[in-house]
Amino acid sequence: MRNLYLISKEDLKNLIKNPMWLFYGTLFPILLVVILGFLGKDSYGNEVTSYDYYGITLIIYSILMSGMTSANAFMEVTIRKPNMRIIYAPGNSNVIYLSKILSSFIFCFGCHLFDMIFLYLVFDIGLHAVPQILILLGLTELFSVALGVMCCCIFKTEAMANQILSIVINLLAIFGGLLFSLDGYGEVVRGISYLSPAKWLVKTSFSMIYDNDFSWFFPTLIGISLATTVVFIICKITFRKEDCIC
Amino acid sequence: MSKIVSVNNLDKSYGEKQVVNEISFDIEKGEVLCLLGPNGAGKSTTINILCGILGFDAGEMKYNGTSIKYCLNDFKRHLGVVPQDLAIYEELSAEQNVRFFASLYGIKGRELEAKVTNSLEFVGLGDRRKDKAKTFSGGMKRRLNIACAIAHEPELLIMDEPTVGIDPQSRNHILNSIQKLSQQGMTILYTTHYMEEVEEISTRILIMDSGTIIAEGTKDSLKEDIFDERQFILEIEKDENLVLDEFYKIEGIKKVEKKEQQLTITTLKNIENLDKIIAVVITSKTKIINLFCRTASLENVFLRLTGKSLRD
Repeated sequence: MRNLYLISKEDLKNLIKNPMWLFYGTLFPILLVVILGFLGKDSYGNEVTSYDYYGITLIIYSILMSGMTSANAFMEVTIRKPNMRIIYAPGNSNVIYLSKILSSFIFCFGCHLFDMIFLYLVFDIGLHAVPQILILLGLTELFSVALGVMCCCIFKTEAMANQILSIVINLLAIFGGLLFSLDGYGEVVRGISYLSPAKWLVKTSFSMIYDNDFSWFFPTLIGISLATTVVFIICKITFRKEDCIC
Repeated sequence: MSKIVSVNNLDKSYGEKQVVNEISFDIEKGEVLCLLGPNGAGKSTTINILCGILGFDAGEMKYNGTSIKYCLNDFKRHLGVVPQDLAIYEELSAEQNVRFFASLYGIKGRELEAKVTNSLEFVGLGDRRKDKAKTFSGGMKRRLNIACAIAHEPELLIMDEPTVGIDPQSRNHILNSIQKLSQQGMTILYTTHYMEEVEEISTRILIMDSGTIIAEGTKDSLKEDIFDERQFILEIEKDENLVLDEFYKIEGIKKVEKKEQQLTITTLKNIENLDKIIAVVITSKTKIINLFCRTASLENVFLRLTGKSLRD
């Protein structure tokens, strides 16, 4: 456990010191909300403004994209070599990927919390059911970073993991209506959008924030918990120490 | 000397390809054991198996008489590894690097700080301890790589080609450091492509080729065992009356060559015939300017055993 703490701390420091990831985690989601919110403001009403809509959907989108940060923290070339020395040290080798998941989770969730607070304060984005929203998004964040690490364990390189993650998450985001609402495109498209877990996250969040409806909360939470468990199991099965040899 | 590590009939394959084939060797306490072999010989695979990174298909490895699978963490606690790649964080300072990696061995507090200082001083980076690794030259990074491996004062240090691509000054520093560590009682397993390094630091040598160990011994015993010949080189003057065929009448002479003023005589090693050779030269009124004896180099030993140069 001590090594898990030490390695996670070091990984977290590496992430915080990386200006690119800091920008990607904090300013990029805010910029997306501002730009898309501004462009779409005429298409939304006064009760749920475009900033309200994108403030929630794009934070979910950013959270789903956190897998790219954890993939980088795990197998980026300058990190991969020191990983090798961690394998030489005594202790359970599973701490390698667990530490990447833990540090990326803390980093990304911290960044996205900052974004949420900023958007709430500056754009007055509606925020109710805060504990439930935090639990939901926190668990989604954990799922996303674990997914990034899982892709690295399977595909063995950060580049390949990120390419695949990027395609999959963007497809889920588009079908889930994270980038633009699909509700106006008819019954069939709306039905398809429910196949995307992103849509469930959006629906649950909006229901809790605007309708005070918590009926979707537990099913969604259980779904993400199960998915996260599966991802952790796949990490455990597919992680091999020799993948850390450069 | 007592054995620290025993490797018995170790096998490792990747699919159909057998990369380590029933190798057995011991690492004795306090020795500098050099593992030599061309690219693809199975050296790195053997080292990675020893370090616990790679699994193996068959065989057994023991640490102080106990199978490593039953004492892996204890073994790792007493093991330091200097990989060929620089396993350091470029963004951290030298001392932050050493402190982090040493702390993974359960060292903390004042003891940790003392060990960080000692290891950085040892590799000559004491005055650069606050500088980030990314500002270091290649040689300094290699030395930091070593500091990270020795900070926890391991009993066995495994070094995989630690001097590749560095300047002569850093190489000398590293080789001197290895000799000092050996004098302090540390056991070292060292792989390299540089034969002169093996000549300088090894107490024993293992030669590997195609996944098997093909020779084992000290540098002198390997030369003795592999070659049954030696060469006398004579620099001569006024050799008008010298008849080369006269030398073939001497017992043990295998080959005589004359090139300008240099006479090279190859003879069986175990026959004392130098006095007879000199007698032939003197009888022909040839003047000997210089005479020396050439024995086999490790490079020759390697070439004879594997049929290829070490850097092929």
